[in-house]
Amino acid sequence: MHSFIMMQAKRLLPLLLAGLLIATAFGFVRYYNAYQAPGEHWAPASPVAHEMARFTTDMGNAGDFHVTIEKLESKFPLFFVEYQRPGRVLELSVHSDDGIVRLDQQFADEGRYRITVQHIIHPMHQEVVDFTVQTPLVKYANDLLLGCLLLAAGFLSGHRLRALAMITLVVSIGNLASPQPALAHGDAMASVAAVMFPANIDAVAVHWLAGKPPVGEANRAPLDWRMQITRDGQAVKRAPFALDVVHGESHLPVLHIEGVANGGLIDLRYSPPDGAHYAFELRTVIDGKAYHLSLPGSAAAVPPTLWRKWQSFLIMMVPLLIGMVWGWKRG
Amino acid sequence: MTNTITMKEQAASERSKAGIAVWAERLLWLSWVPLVLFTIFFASTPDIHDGVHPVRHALTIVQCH
Repeated sequence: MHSFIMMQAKRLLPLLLAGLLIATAFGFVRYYNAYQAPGEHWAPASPVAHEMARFTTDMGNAGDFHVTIEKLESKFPLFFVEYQRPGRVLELSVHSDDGIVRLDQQFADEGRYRITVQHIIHPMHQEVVDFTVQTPLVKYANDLLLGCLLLAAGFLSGHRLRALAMITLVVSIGNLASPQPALAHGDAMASVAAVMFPANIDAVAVHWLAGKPPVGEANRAPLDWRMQITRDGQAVKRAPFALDVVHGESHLPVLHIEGVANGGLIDLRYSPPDGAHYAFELRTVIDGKAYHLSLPGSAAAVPPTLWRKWQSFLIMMVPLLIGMVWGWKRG
Repeated sequence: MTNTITMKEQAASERSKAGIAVWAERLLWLSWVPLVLFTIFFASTPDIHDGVHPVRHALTIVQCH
């Protein structure tokens, strides 16, 4: 009886394996589709951190709008590092001629966020959407790879294969699969300077409303980036504009806004996703002539706390210790 | 007699040397991975920090800044 069951199980085994493979493939397809799923009519359901998320909503008629983005909560901060604290990330007042409010933004980390677009004169006329910024798939793969490497290193330590373990780990960590496109930090003033344009063509210029760029930390309270477009020293009456906040090292925009600057004012308060230099690149049209202006700014980096370092370190110790015990027992 | 004591002493000294070597090796085995991890991910040496920058950002559990 027993051997009969075993025989049946052996015959069924390939079938079960085939089923498992197919189910896994379907599972991946489902997950991948959900990864890129469209959300509400104007906001992505779950944008990926470090990638541009595009928000576009038709508010019906031309008008002045107040846009806010706030972080409601972080995703399990023990395993997913919290860069941006919950709270306001962006506040923007903008005029739209066609009633469409457009904004592209790159988020610093995963978590629950809320975007609100509100008519300034009729506050009841508003759109509110909650969305979840999710972790890029490659990060999960890298975490898993690091876990496996630590398990292997622990196992080899248990076996006392010193030289081999040392070489394997160092080489493998150096080759961690496809790292994120570098949101690198450092002194990038040179590159910011390279994209600056003469700010005084036809005496049209843009300058910080406060006279100088704000000083503060990235991923904390929004900084005051209000700027004003002037001609011959006088604020322009009206200027359709598109503003890109460009990361000084990756040279990729982290925020893109469009609208009309009434009184030449671009009313932006915003917390950049990374401690770095930024170029505020402005394209504007005044009396039918296009201008490309730029202002440099920067946000200070917030280094991890000692407690945060310890948490990450202890998490890494878990697979290492499991590997060591395993290697010790096998050795 | 004197000779015997010297030999015993020598043997004991060699044993203790071997003991130190064994302990040193054990210590090395216990500490090399934590040391490598600390150096790569948590030490604030600027050159190393900048060098492994993309690796930090490639993981969910390590904070860069």
